[in-house]
Amino acid sequence: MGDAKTVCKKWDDMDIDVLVKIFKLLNMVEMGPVSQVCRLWRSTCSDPLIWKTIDLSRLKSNFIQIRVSPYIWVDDRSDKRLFRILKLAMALSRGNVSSMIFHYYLYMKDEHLSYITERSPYLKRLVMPAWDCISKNGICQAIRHWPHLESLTMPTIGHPPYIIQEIGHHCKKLSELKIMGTFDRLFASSIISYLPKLKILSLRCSCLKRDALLMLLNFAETLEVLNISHCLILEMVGRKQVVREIDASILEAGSRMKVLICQNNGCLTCQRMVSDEGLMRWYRYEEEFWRYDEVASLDLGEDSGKLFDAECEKLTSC
Amino acid sequence: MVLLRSIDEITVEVAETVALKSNMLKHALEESNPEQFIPLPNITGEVMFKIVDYMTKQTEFESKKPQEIVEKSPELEGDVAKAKEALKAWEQTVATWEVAYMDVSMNMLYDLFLGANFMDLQGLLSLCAEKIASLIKGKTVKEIRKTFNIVNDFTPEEEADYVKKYEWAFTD
Repeated sequence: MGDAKTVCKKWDDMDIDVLVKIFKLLNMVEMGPVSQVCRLWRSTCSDPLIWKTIDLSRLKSNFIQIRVSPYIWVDDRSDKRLFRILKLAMALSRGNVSSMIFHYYLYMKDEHLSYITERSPYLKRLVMPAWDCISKNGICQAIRHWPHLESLTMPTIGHPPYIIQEIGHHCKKLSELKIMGTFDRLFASSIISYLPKLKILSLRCSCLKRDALLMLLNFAETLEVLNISHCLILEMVGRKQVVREIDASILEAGSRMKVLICQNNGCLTCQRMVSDEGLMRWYRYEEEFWRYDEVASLDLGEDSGKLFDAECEKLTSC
Repeated sequence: MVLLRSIDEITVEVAETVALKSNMLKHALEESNPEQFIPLPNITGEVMFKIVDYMTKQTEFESKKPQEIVEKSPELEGDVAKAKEALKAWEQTVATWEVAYMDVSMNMLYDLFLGANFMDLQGLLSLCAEKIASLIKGKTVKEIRKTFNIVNDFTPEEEADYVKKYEWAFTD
């Protein structure tokens, strides 16, 4: 194992800033043993540079759709697997997580959510597009533990006022919101009432009610950017829902803020919205398709990082 | 030409184009007198030569990199394919050289890694980091300690407690 005369180098005496450059190349599971080697290596494993963003979007629940609420049933092993992965991530990161990203097929339950909220007090950004298996109380409790939250990506929910109010009350720094699904007057009025400081709102690829859109444009006073790219704008005409174009009155009402619309005539995304009748079926398309947003701060890019990579996915599968 | 001096007073001359690969040297050259030696206070002669070897070879490879043809007209299709083949072959040559270059002792790896960091030589830094990571992956705690000659400084209670808390993730 080398010359007896040569002094062995001190791998446990390296600057953390340098050691981090090695650990950044490891996934979560590979970091497990590393965090047990010695004190320096354990501290380095929790470095914020490594844990700033936990992108778990390779992780999906094993589920089926059912006819009774919550309409999604998740296999027990899948739940347990999620729990183990969250446990590992929270143990290694030691409260240093700023951003957490989950897939739209990852169905968190209350117990998962409360586990991570208790261990990520400084969370700034959450992307969690599936709330089907979380209770109202569960999500409210979570929101109360995240006073530093600045950006939230959420699904459309049936009755938004309760949660928007909770967010407005506890997350005073929230400046960015993305909603995936449909958007109506109730949502618009909740945002106007309870999130007076919201700067960026993305509703891209949603079904928007025209009156809800006009409400936002006229009354959301601090909104700086509104992304309505590839949206289907609907209006009730008698008993029918009619698709509307973005007309002059909309453009005029939105002159105070930057409104992002799709100007590309042959846009593939718009075509997909039409063929999916307003409810984008993300699962039909490329893996990274749902991650994109015209607003740079909301865009997730194609790379989901090293922490939970393909190898990690294999290592943790049931 | 650029003059470098290691911590153990060994000197070497390097062409300026080669030296500029290191961001640290790039800045040092802007400030210093061209007649003077640039000191490398953390680096021994042996490691210095190894690093210079990397910078020299990389400069050589860069100069031989085949051009990519991006024109997409039917007449040029054959040329585009040939250019792609040439690029692939070049990449393979570089990769093969890098594997051989990185076949070093643990002590040299340590010095090379810190040296690349000090000299802000991103290519070499990545190579070293990847090599070290590959020596970590798949190993148990004990095996990692052995490879890197690290002494366990946890108390038995601390160890037991940690493993108990996060049992599933940590198999030894």
